[in-house]
Amino acid sequence: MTASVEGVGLGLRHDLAKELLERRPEEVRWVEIHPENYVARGGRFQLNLEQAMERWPIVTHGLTCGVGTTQPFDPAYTRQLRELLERVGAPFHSEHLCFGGIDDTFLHDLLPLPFNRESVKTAAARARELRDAIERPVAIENISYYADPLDPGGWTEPDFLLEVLDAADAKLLLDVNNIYVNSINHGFDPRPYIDRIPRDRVVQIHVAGHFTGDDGVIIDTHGEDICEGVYELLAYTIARLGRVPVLLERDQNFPTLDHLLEEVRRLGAIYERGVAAFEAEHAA
Amino acid sequence: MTTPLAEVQRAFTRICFDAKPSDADLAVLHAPPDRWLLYRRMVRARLFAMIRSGLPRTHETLGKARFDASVSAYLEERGVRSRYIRDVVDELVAHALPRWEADPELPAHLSDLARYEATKWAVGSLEWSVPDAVADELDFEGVPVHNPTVRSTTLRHRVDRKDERRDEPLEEPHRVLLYRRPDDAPIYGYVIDPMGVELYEAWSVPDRSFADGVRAVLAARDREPDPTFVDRMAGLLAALVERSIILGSRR
Repeated sequence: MTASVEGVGLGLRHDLAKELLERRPEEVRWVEIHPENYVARGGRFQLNLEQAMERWPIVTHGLTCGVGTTQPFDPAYTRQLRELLERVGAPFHSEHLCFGGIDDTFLHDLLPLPFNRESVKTAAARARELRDAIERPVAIENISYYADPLDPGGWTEPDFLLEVLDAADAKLLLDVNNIYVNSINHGFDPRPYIDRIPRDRVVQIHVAGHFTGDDGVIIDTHGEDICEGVYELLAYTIARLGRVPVLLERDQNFPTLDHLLEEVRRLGAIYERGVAAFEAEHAA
Repeated sequence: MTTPLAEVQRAFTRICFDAKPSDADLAVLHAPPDRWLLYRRMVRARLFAMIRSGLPRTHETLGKARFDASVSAYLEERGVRSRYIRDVVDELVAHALPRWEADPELPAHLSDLARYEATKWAVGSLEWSVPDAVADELDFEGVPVHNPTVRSTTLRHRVDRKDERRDEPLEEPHRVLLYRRPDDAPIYGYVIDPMGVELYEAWSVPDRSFADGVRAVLAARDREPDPTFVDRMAGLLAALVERSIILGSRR
Protein backbone atom coordinates (compact mmCIF):
# COMPACT_ATOMS: atom_id res chain seq x y z
CA MET A 1 0.00 0.00 0.00
CA THR A 2 1.33 3.44 -0.85
CA ALA A 3 1.08 5.97 1.94
CA SER A 4 -0.57 9.37 1.71
CA VAL A 5 1.84 12.01 2.95
CA GLU A 6 0.60 15.47 3.93
CA GLY A 7 1.52 18.30 6.26
CA VAL A 8 4.68 18.36 8.36
CA GLY A 9 6.82 15.32 9.11
CA LEU A 10 9.89 14.61 11.19
CA GLY A 11 12.97 12.53 10.51
CA LEU A 12 12.97 9.27 12.49
CA ARG A 13 16.44 9.41 14.00
CA HIS A 14 17.91 7.05 16.55
CA ASP A 15 18.38 9.73 19.21
CA LEU A 16 14.76 10.84 18.95
CA ALA A 17 13.08 7.53 18.32
CA LYS A 18 12.37 6.28 21.82
CA GLU A 19 10.42 9.31 23.03
CA LEU A 20 8.85 10.00 19.64
CA LEU A 21 7.52 6.44 19.42
CA GLU A 22 6.23 6.49 22.98
CA ARG A 23 4.44 9.82 22.66
CA ARG A 24 3.37 9.58 19.00
CA PRO A 25 2.62 13.32 18.81
CA GLU A 26 -0.26 14.17 16.51
CA GLU A 27 1.41 17.27 15.06
CA VAL A 28 3.90 14.94 13.37
CA ARG A 29 1.95 13.72 10.36
CA TRP A 30 4.55 11.37 8.83
CA VAL A 31 8.15 10.34 9.30
CA GLU A 32 11.15 10.01 7.04
CA ILE A 33 13.80 7.31 7.29
CA HIS A 34 17.21 6.73 5.74
CA PRO A 35 16.99 3.23 4.19
CA GLU A 36 20.69 2.54 4.81
CA ASN A 37 19.87 2.43 8.52
CA TYR A 38 17.30 -0.35 8.00
CA VAL A 39 18.40 -2.47 5.04
CA ALA A 40 20.15 -5.70 6.12
CA ARG A 41 19.79 -4.70 9.75
CA GLY A 42 17.94 -5.97 12.78
CA GLY A 43 17.88 -4.85 16.39
CA ARG A 44 16.76 -1.48 17.69
CA PHE A 45 16.38 0.12 14.24
CA GLN A 46 13.97 -2.56 12.98
CA LEU A 47 11.93 -2.41 16.16
CA ASN A 48 11.68 1.38 15.81
CA LEU A 49 10.62 1.10 12.17
CA GLU A 50 7.92 -1.43 12.96
CA GLN A 51 6.50 0.84 15.65
CA ALA A 52 6.69 3.89 13.39
CA MET A 53 4.83 2.03 10.63
CA GLU A 54 1.94 1.39 13.02
CA ARG A 55 1.49 5.13 13.54
CA TRP A 56 2.69 7.07 10.50
CA PRO A 57 3.15 7.02 6.74
CA ILE A 58 6.83 6.48 5.97
CA VAL A 59 8.88 8.35 3.39
CA THR A 60 12.39 7.18 2.42
CA HIS A 61 15.41 9.36 1.80
CA GLY A 62 18.66 7.72 0.73
CA LEU A 63 22.19 8.69 1.65
CA THR A 64 24.41 6.55 -0.56
CA CYS A 65 22.89 6.53 -4.04
CA GLY A 66 23.77 10.08 -5.01
CA VAL A 67 22.78 10.34 -8.65
CA GLY A 68 26.07 11.97 -9.58
CA THR A 69 28.04 8.79 -9.08
CA THR A 70 29.76 7.68 -12.25
CA GLN A 71 29.31 3.95 -11.60
CA PRO A 72 26.05 1.99 -11.83
CA PHE A 73 24.43 1.20 -8.50
CA ASP A 74 24.96 -2.17 -6.85
CA PRO A 75 21.99 -4.29 -7.98
CA ALA A 76 22.04 -6.30 -4.74
CA TYR A 77 21.51 -3.09 -2.78
CA THR A 78 18.83 -1.66 -5.05
CA ARG A 79 16.94 -4.97 -4.78
CA GLN A 80 17.04 -4.74 -0.98
CA LEU A 81 16.04 -1.09 -1.21
CA ARG A 82 13.07 -1.95 -3.39
CA GLU A 83 11.95 -4.57 -0.87
CA LEU A 84 12.16 -2.06 1.98
CA LEU A 85 10.21 0.58 0.01
CA GLU A 86 7.56 -2.01 -0.75
CA ARG A 87 7.37 -3.00 2.91
CA VAL A 88 6.95 0.55 4.21
CA GLY A 89 4.68 1.64 1.33
CA ALA A 90 6.91 4.53 0.30
CA PRO A 91 5.13 6.67 -2.31
CA PHE A 92 8.47 7.64 -3.87
CA HIS A 93 12.14 7.53 -2.93
CA SER A 94 14.57 10.43 -2.82
CA GLU A 95 18.33 10.69 -3.28
CA HIS A 96 20.72 13.63 -3.55
CA LEU A 97 22.11 15.49 -6.53
CA CYS A 98 25.67 14.70 -5.52
CA PHE A 99 28.25 11.95 -5.52
CA GLY A 100 29.21 9.99 -2.43
CA GLY A 101 32.07 7.83 -3.62
CA ILE A 102 33.80 6.18 -6.53
CA ASP A 103 35.59 2.90 -7.30
CA ASP A 104 33.63 1.08 -4.57
CA THR A 105 34.77 3.56 -1.92
CA PHE A 106 32.20 5.49 0.09
CA LEU A 107 32.80 8.95 1.55
CA HIS A 108 29.55 8.99 3.54
CA ASP A 109 28.94 12.61 2.71
CA LEU A 110 27.21 14.58 -0.02
CA LEU A 111 29.86 15.88 -2.41
CA PRO A 112 29.09 18.47 -5.08
CA LEU A 113 29.04 17.94 -8.82
CA PRO A 114 30.36 20.30 -11.47
CA PHE A 115 27.50 22.23 -13.04
CA ASN A 116 28.14 20.89 -16.52
CA ARG A 117 26.76 18.67 -19.23
CA GLU A 118 28.63 15.53 -18.17
CA SER A 119 27.12 15.77 -14.66
CA VAL A 120 23.64 16.20 -16.13
CA LYS A 121 24.08 13.15 -18.31
CA THR A 122 25.43 11.10 -15.42
CA ALA A 123 22.71 12.17 -12.98
CA ALA A 124 19.95 11.50 -15.48
CA ALA A 125 21.29 8.02 -16.21
CA ARG A 126 21.60 7.11 -12.52
CA ALA A 127 18.17 8.49 -11.64
CA ARG A 128 16.53 6.49 -14.42
CA GLU A 129 18.49 3.40 -13.43
CA LEU A 130 17.34 3.77 -9.84
CA ARG A 131 13.73 4.39 -10.79
CA ASP A 132 13.70 1.22 -12.88
CA ALA A 133 15.35 -0.79 -10.09
CA ILE A 134 13.02 0.31 -7.28
CA GLU A 135 9.91 0.47 -9.46
CA ARG A 136 8.64 3.78 -8.12
CA PRO A 137 9.26 7.49 -8.71
CA VAL A 138 12.63 8.94 -7.78
CA ALA A 139 12.94 12.44 -6.37
CA ILE A 140 16.27 14.27 -6.51
CA GLU A 141 17.26 16.65 -3.73
CA ASN A 142 19.26 19.84 -4.32
CA ILE A 143 22.22 19.88 -1.92
CA SER A 144 24.08 22.58 -0.07
CA TYR A 145 27.59 23.01 -1.47
CA TYR A 146 30.60 24.98 -0.43
CA ALA A 147 32.54 25.07 -3.68
CA ASP A 148 32.25 24.41 -7.41
CA PRO A 149 34.44 21.46 -8.39
CA LEU A 150 35.07 22.92 -11.83
CA ASP A 151 34.61 26.27 -13.48
CA PRO A 152 30.80 26.43 -13.82
CA GLY A 153 31.09 27.95 -17.28
CA GLY A 154 28.03 30.10 -16.95
CA TRP A 155 25.55 27.65 -15.41
CA THR A 156 23.95 28.64 -12.15
CA GLU A 157 22.73 26.10 -9.58
CA PRO A 158 19.06 26.31 -10.70
CA ASP A 159 20.16 26.02 -14.34
CA PHE A 160 21.92 22.79 -13.46
CA LEU A 161 19.10 21.43 -11.28
CA LEU A 162 16.44 22.05 -13.93
CA GLU A 163 18.60 20.46 -16.63
CA VAL A 164 18.96 17.33 -14.48
CA LEU A 165 15.24 17.12 -13.66
CA ASP A 166 14.31 17.43 -17.31
CA ALA A 167 16.92 14.95 -18.51
CA ALA A 168 16.00 12.42 -15.81
CA ASP A 169 12.27 13.17 -15.89
CA ALA A 170 12.54 13.00 -12.10
CA LYS A 171 10.65 14.48 -9.19
CA LEU A 172 12.23 17.08 -6.89
CA LEU A 173 12.77 17.01 -3.17
CA LEU A 174 13.20 20.75 -2.70
CA ASP A 175 15.49 21.51 0.23
CA VAL A 176 14.62 25.10 1.13
CA ASN A 177 17.34 25.26 3.77
CA ASN A 178 19.95 24.23 1.20
CA ILE A 179 18.86 27.00 -1.15
CA TYR A 180 19.06 29.46 1.74
CA VAL A 181 22.53 28.20 2.77
CA ASN A 182 23.79 28.37 -0.80
CA SER A 183 22.30 31.84 -1.29
CA ILE A 184 24.34 33.14 1.64
CA ASN A 185 27.54 31.23 0.85
CA HIS A 186 27.48 32.04 -2.86
CA GLY A 187 25.73 35.40 -2.77
CA PHE A 188 22.50 35.11 -4.71
CA ASP A 189 18.83 35.92 -4.11
CA PRO A 190 16.97 32.67 -3.27
CA ARG A 191 13.50 33.82 -4.38
CA PRO A 192 14.14 33.89 -8.13
CA TYR A 193 15.57 30.37 -7.68
CA ILE A 194 12.30 29.25 -6.05
CA ASP A 195 10.35 31.01 -8.79
CA ARG A 196 12.00 28.81 -11.40
CA ILE A 197 11.04 25.52 -9.75
CA PRO A 198 8.39 23.65 -11.79
CA ARG A 199 5.56 22.98 -9.36
CA ASP A 200 4.55 19.66 -10.87
CA ARG A 201 7.94 18.14 -10.10
CA VAL A 202 8.03 18.89 -6.36
CA VAL A 203 6.95 16.02 -4.10
CA GLN A 204 8.51 17.02 -0.80
CA ILE A 205 10.27 19.90 0.96
CA HIS A 206 13.09 19.78 3.51
CA VAL A 207 13.89 22.40 6.11
CA ALA A 208 16.59 22.30 8.76
CA GLY A 209 18.90 24.39 10.91
CA HIS A 210 22.49 25.19 10.06
CA PHE A 211 25.69 26.45 11.66
CA THR A 212 27.51 29.68 10.82
CA GLY A 213 31.30 29.49 11.20
CA ASP A 214 33.62 32.28 12.30
CA ASP A 215 34.53 32.87 8.66
CA GLY A 216 30.85 33.47 7.81
CA VAL A 217 30.50 30.23 5.85
CA ILE A 218 27.23 28.48 6.70
CA ILE A 219 27.49 24.73 7.19
CA ASP A 220 24.37 22.64 6.66
CA THR A 221 24.62 20.66 9.89
CA HIS A 222 20.95 19.86 10.62
CA GLY A 223 22.04 20.47 14.18
CA GLU A 224 20.53 23.87 15.04
CA ASP A 225 17.09 25.45 15.18
CA ILE A 226 15.59 26.66 11.92
CA CYS A 227 16.49 30.32 11.41
CA GLU A 228 14.04 33.11 10.55
CA GLY A 229 15.36 33.38 7.00
CA VAL A 230 14.50 29.74 6.31
CA TYR A 231 11.01 30.09 7.83
CA GLU A 232 10.42 33.11 5.58
CA LEU A 233 11.72 31.31 2.51
CA LEU A 234 9.53 28.31 3.31
CA ALA A 235 6.45 30.54 3.56
CA TYR A 236 7.31 32.02 0.18
CA THR A 237 7.83 28.55 -1.28
CA ILE A 238 4.58 27.03 0.01
CA ALA A 239 2.58 30.03 -1.18
CA ARG A 240 4.02 29.39 -4.63
CA LEU A 241 3.92 25.58 -4.71
CA GLY A 242 0.88 24.77 -2.58
CA ARG A 243 0.29 21.51 -0.73
CA VAL A 244 3.73 19.88 -0.66
CA PRO A 245 4.68 17.91 2.50
CA VAL A 246 7.41 19.50 4.60
CA LEU A 247 10.02 17.61 6.62
CA LEU A 248 11.96 18.97 9.57
CA GLU A 249 15.43 17.41 9.43
CA ARG A 250 17.29 17.23 12.70
CA ASP A 251 20.29 14.92 12.64
CA GLN A 252 22.53 15.98 15.52
CA ASN A 253 22.79 18.21 18.59
CA PHE A 254 19.30 17.08 19.51
CA PRO A 255 17.14 19.31 21.72
CA THR A 256 14.18 17.99 23.68
CA LEU A 257 11.33 16.50 21.70
CA ASP A 258 9.08 19.27 23.01
CA HIS A 259 11.43 21.82 21.51
CA LEU A 260 11.33 20.07 18.14
CA LEU A 261 7.55 19.82 18.31
CA GLU A 262 7.40 23.61 18.75
CA GLU A 263 9.28 23.88 15.47
CA VAL A 264 6.94 21.35 13.88
CA ARG A 265 3.90 23.39 15.01
CA ARG A 266 5.39 26.59 13.65
CA LEU A 267 6.10 24.84 10.35
CA GLY A 268 2.54 23.52 10.38
CA ALA A 269 1.13 27.04 10.77
CA ILE A 270 3.33 28.32 7.92
CA TYR A 271 2.26 25.35 5.82
CA GLU A 272 -1.46 25.99 6.38
CA ARG A 273 -1.15 29.71 5.66
CA GLY A 274 0.90 29.04 2.54
CA VAL A 275 -1.52 26.44 1.24
CA ALA A 276 -4.46 28.78 1.87
CA ALA A 277 -2.71 31.58 0.01
CA PHE A 278 -1.87 29.27 -2.85
CA GLU A 279 -5.40 27.90 -3.12
CA ALA A 280 -6.98 31.35 -2.91
CA GLU A 281 -4.76 32.58 -5.72
CA HIS A 282 -5.43 29.56 -7.89
CA ALA A 283 -9.17 29.54 -7.23
CA ALA A 284 -9.41 33.12 -8.43
CA MET B 1 39.76 20.78 -21.70
CA THR B 2 37.39 19.92 -18.87
CA THR B 3 38.54 17.25 -16.42
CA PRO B 4 36.34 14.13 -16.70
CA LEU B 5 33.83 13.74 -13.88
CA ALA B 6 35.34 10.46 -12.66
CA GLU B 7 38.77 12.08 -12.34
CA VAL B 8 37.26 14.96 -10.36
CA GLN B 9 35.63 12.47 -8.01
CA ARG B 10 38.85 10.45 -7.58
CA ALA B 11 40.78 13.62 -6.73
CA PHE B 12 38.06 14.58 -4.27
CA THR B 13 38.20 11.15 -2.64
CA ARG B 14 41.98 11.29 -2.23
CA ILE B 15 41.72 14.79 -0.74
CA CYS B 16 39.38 13.37 1.90
CA PHE B 17 41.21 10.09 2.63
CA ASP B 18 44.92 10.67 2.00
CA ALA B 19 47.07 11.42 5.02
CA LYS B 20 47.95 14.73 3.41
CA PRO B 21 46.02 16.12 0.43
CA SER B 22 48.30 16.62 -2.56
CA ASP B 23 48.68 19.89 -4.40
CA ALA B 24 48.05 17.99 -7.63
CA ASP B 25 44.60 16.85 -6.45
CA LEU B 26 43.72 20.27 -5.12
CA ALA B 27 44.75 21.74 -8.47
CA VAL B 28 42.18 19.55 -10.26
CA LEU B 29 39.40 21.37 -8.44
CA HIS B 30 38.26 24.85 -9.20
CA ALA B 31 37.58 26.69 -5.94
CA PRO B 32 40.08 27.80 -3.26
CA PRO B 33 41.72 24.86 -1.45
CA ASP B 34 40.29 25.85 1.92
CA ARG B 35 36.79 24.90 0.73
CA TRP B 36 37.96 21.40 -0.24
CA LEU B 37 39.75 21.04 3.05
CA LEU B 38 36.45 21.92 4.71
CA TYR B 39 34.92 18.89 2.99
CA ARG B 40 37.87 16.79 4.14
CA ARG B 41 37.24 17.82 7.74
CA MET B 42 33.52 17.07 7.50
CA VAL B 43 34.00 13.65 5.88
CA ARG B 44 36.66 12.59 8.36
CA ALA B 45 34.82 13.97 11.40
CA ARG B 46 31.76 11.87 10.62
CA LEU B 47 33.75 8.67 10.09
CA PHE B 48 35.98 9.20 13.12
CA ALA B 49 32.92 9.84 15.30
CA MET B 50 31.17 6.68 14.09
CA ILE B 51 34.25 4.55 14.75
CA ARG B 52 34.75 6.05 18.19
CA SER B 53 31.14 5.37 19.09
CA GLY B 54 31.61 1.68 18.26
CA LEU B 55 34.95 1.31 20.04
CA PRO B 56 34.79 3.60 23.08
CA ARG B 57 37.06 1.54 25.34
CA THR B 58 39.52 0.76 22.56
CA HIS B 59 39.73 4.49 21.90
CA GLU B 60 40.26 5.19 25.58
CA THR B 61 42.91 2.48 25.91
CA LEU B 62 44.86 3.52 22.83
CA GLY B 63 44.57 7.23 23.48
CA LYS B 64 43.34 9.78 20.97
CA ALA B 65 46.58 10.23 19.02
CA ARG B 66 47.21 6.53 18.37
CA PHE B 67 43.55 5.80 17.72
CA ASP B 68 43.27 8.65 15.21
CA ALA B 69 46.50 7.52 13.52
CA SER B 70 44.99 4.05 13.08
CA VAL B 71 41.81 5.49 11.58
CA SER B 72 43.84 7.72 9.26
CA ALA B 73 45.89 4.74 8.07
CA TYR B 74 42.69 2.77 7.42
CA LEU B 75 41.20 5.58 5.37
CA GLU B 76 44.37 6.12 3.35
CA GLU B 77 45.31 2.50 2.73
CA ARG B 78 41.90 0.90 2.39
CA GLY B 79 39.13 3.52 2.31
CA VAL B 80 35.55 2.86 3.37
CA ARG B 81 34.16 -0.09 1.41
CA SER B 82 30.65 -0.35 2.81
CA ARG B 83 27.64 1.79 2.05
CA TYR B 84 26.50 1.15 5.61
CA ILE B 85 28.36 3.63 7.76
CA ARG B 86 27.96 1.32 10.76
CA ASP B 87 30.38 -1.09 9.03
CA VAL B 88 33.33 1.29 9.40
CA VAL B 89 33.83 -0.07 12.94
CA ASP B 90 34.44 -3.60 11.66
CA GLU B 91 36.48 -2.37 8.69
CA LEU B 92 38.76 -0.34 10.96
CA VAL B 93 39.33 -3.25 13.34
CA ALA B 94 40.06 -5.65 10.45
CA HIS B 95 42.62 -3.20 9.12
CA ALA B 96 44.25 -2.15 12.39
CA LEU B 97 44.25 -5.39 14.38
CA PRO B 98 47.41 -6.95 12.85
CA ARG B 99 49.34 -3.75 13.56
CA TRP B 100 48.04 -3.46 17.10
CA GLU B 101 48.88 -7.10 17.80
CA ALA B 102 52.41 -6.61 16.43
CA ASP B 103 53.10 -3.51 18.51
CA PRO B 104 54.81 -4.51 21.80
CA GLU B 105 54.18 -1.07 23.29
CA LEU B 106 50.42 -1.56 23.33
CA PRO B 107 48.55 -3.24 26.21
CA ALA B 108 48.28 -7.02 25.83
CA HIS B 109 44.49 -6.93 26.09
CA LEU B 110 43.98 -4.29 23.38
CA SER B 111 43.28 -6.68 20.52
CA ASP B 112 40.81 -8.64 22.66
CA LEU B 113 39.09 -5.41 23.59
CA ALA B 114 38.83 -4.25 19.96
CA ARG B 115 37.46 -7.61 18.78
CA TYR B 116 35.01 -7.73 21.67
CA GLU B 117 33.70 -4.22 21.02
CA ALA B 118 33.52 -4.76 17.25
CA THR B 119 31.62 -8.03 17.71
CA LYS B 120 29.22 -6.43 20.14
CA TRP B 121 28.68 -3.54 17.71
CA ALA B 122 27.95 -5.97 14.88
CA VAL B 123 25.55 -8.08 16.96
CA GLY B 124 23.51 -4.95 17.65
CA SER B 125 22.66 -4.70 13.95
CA LEU B 126 22.37 -8.32 12.84
CA GLU B 127 19.14 -9.25 11.14
CA TRP B 128 16.73 -11.54 12.91
CA SER B 129 16.25 -13.83 9.92
CA VAL B 130 13.28 -16.12 10.39
CA PRO B 131 14.62 -19.38 11.81
CA ASP B 132 13.34 -22.81 10.89
CA ALA B 133 10.07 -23.86 12.47
CA VAL B 134 10.73 -24.64 16.11
CA ALA B 135 8.99 -27.58 17.77
CA ASP B 136 6.88 -26.83 20.86
CA GLU B 137 9.11 -29.00 23.01
CA LEU B 138 12.83 -29.41 22.62
CA ASP B 139 13.57 -32.80 21.10
CA PHE B 140 17.06 -34.17 21.82
CA GLU B 141 16.89 -36.19 18.59
CA GLY B 142 16.01 -33.01 16.70
CA VAL B 143 18.32 -30.47 15.05
CA PRO B 144 19.15 -27.34 17.09
CA VAL B 145 17.60 -24.06 15.91
CA HIS B 146 20.00 -21.24 16.70
CA ASN B 147 19.40 -17.60 17.46
CA PRO B 148 20.68 -15.87 14.27
CA THR B 149 22.22 -12.99 16.21
CA VAL B 150 24.71 -15.10 18.18
CA ARG B 151 28.38 -14.41 17.51
CA SER B 152 31.08 -16.37 19.26
CA THR B 153 34.47 -14.88 20.06
CA THR B 154 37.52 -16.29 21.85
CA LEU B 155 39.32 -13.88 24.14
CA ARG B 156 42.52 -14.16 26.17
CA HIS B 157 41.54 -11.43 28.63
CA ARG B 158 38.32 -10.78 30.52
CA VAL B 159 37.54 -7.58 28.63
CA ASP B 160 33.88 -8.62 28.73
CA ARG B 161 33.66 -8.10 32.49
CA LYS B 162 32.10 -4.82 33.50
CA ASP B 163 33.19 -4.71 37.08
CA GLU B 164 36.79 -5.20 38.09
CA ARG B 165 40.18 -4.42 36.58
CA ARG B 166 38.69 -2.65 33.59
CA ASP B 167 42.03 -1.01 32.77
CA GLU B 168 44.03 -4.18 33.27
CA PRO B 169 41.71 -7.12 32.70
CA LEU B 170 42.57 -10.55 33.99
CA GLU B 171 44.31 -12.91 31.59
CA GLU B 172 41.89 -15.83 31.41
CA PRO B 173 41.28 -17.42 28.01
CA HIS B 174 37.58 -17.99 27.43
CA ARG B 175 34.80 -18.10 24.87
CA VAL B 176 31.95 -15.61 25.00
CA LEU B 177 28.71 -15.77 23.05
CA LEU B 178 27.27 -12.34 22.27
CA TYR B 179 23.62 -12.21 21.24
CA ARG B 180 20.27 -10.44 21.28
CA ARG B 181 17.04 -12.00 22.45
CA PRO B 182 14.03 -12.23 20.09
CA ASP B 183 12.22 -8.91 19.57
CA ASP B 184 14.64 -7.09 21.80
CA ALA B 185 17.63 -4.81 21.26
CA PRO B 186 20.03 -5.14 24.23
CA ILE B 187 23.15 -7.25 23.72
CA TYR B 188 23.99 -9.98 26.18
CA GLY B 189 27.11 -12.06 26.74
CA TYR B 190 27.37 -15.64 27.98
CA VAL B 191 30.71 -17.27 28.76
CA ILE B 192 31.07 -21.00 28.12
CA ASP B 193 33.80 -23.31 29.43
CA PRO B 194 35.96 -25.58 27.21
CA MET B 195 33.50 -28.46 27.34
CA GLY B 196 30.71 -26.02 26.56
CA VAL B 197 32.69 -24.81 23.54
CA GLU B 198 32.98 -28.38 22.23
CA LEU B 199 29.27 -29.01 22.68
CA TYR B 200 28.20 -25.64 21.29
CA GLU B 201 30.34 -26.17 18.19
CA ALA B 202 29.00 -29.73 17.82
CA TRP B 203 25.45 -28.39 18.00
CA SER B 204 26.29 -25.76 15.40
CA VAL B 205 27.06 -28.30 12.66
CA PRO B 206 24.26 -27.95 10.08
CA ASP B 207 21.51 -30.59 10.15
CA ARG B 208 23.06 -32.55 13.01
CA SER B 209 20.87 -33.44 15.99
CA PHE B 210 21.64 -32.60 19.61
CA ALA B 211 22.17 -36.31 20.29
CA ASP B 212 24.58 -36.78 17.38
CA GLY B 213 26.48 -33.69 18.45
CA VAL B 214 26.91 -35.14 21.93
CA ARG B 215 28.02 -38.45 20.47
CA ALA B 216 30.63 -36.63 18.37
CA VAL B 217 31.99 -34.84 21.42
CA LEU B 218 32.15 -38.06 23.42
CA ALA B 219 33.90 -39.83 20.56
CA ALA B 220 36.45 -37.04 20.28
CA ARG B 221 37.07 -37.31 24.03
CA ASP B 222 37.07 -41.09 23.86
CA ARG B 223 34.78 -41.40 26.86
CA GLU B 224 31.37 -42.66 27.92
CA PRO B 225 28.54 -40.34 29.04
CA ASP B 226 29.13 -40.52 32.81
CA PRO B 227 26.77 -38.70 35.21
CA THR B 228 29.10 -35.69 35.56
CA PHE B 229 29.20 -35.20 31.80
CA VAL B 230 25.44 -35.61 31.49
CA ASP B 231 24.79 -33.10 34.29
CA ARG B 232 27.10 -30.52 32.75
CA MET B 233 25.71 -31.06 29.26
CA ALA B 234 22.13 -30.77 30.49
CA GLY B 235 23.00 -27.64 32.47
CA LEU B 236 24.63 -26.04 29.42
CA LEU B 237 21.68 -26.87 27.16
CA ALA B 238 19.20 -25.49 29.68
CA ALA B 239 21.25 -22.29 29.98
CA LEU B 240 21.49 -21.85 26.20
CA VAL B 241 17.74 -22.35 25.79
CA GLU B 242 16.86 -20.14 28.75
CA ARG B 243 18.95 -17.35 27.25
CA SER B 244 17.47 -17.88 23.74
CA ILE B 245 20.92 -18.67 22.35
CA ILE B 246 19.36 -21.90 21.15
CA LEU B 247 15.70 -21.37 20.29
CA GLY B 248 14.67 -25.04 20.30
CA SER B 249 14.75 -27.94 17.89
CA ARG B 250 13.35 -28.95 14.55
CA ARG B 251 12.96 -32.29 12.81
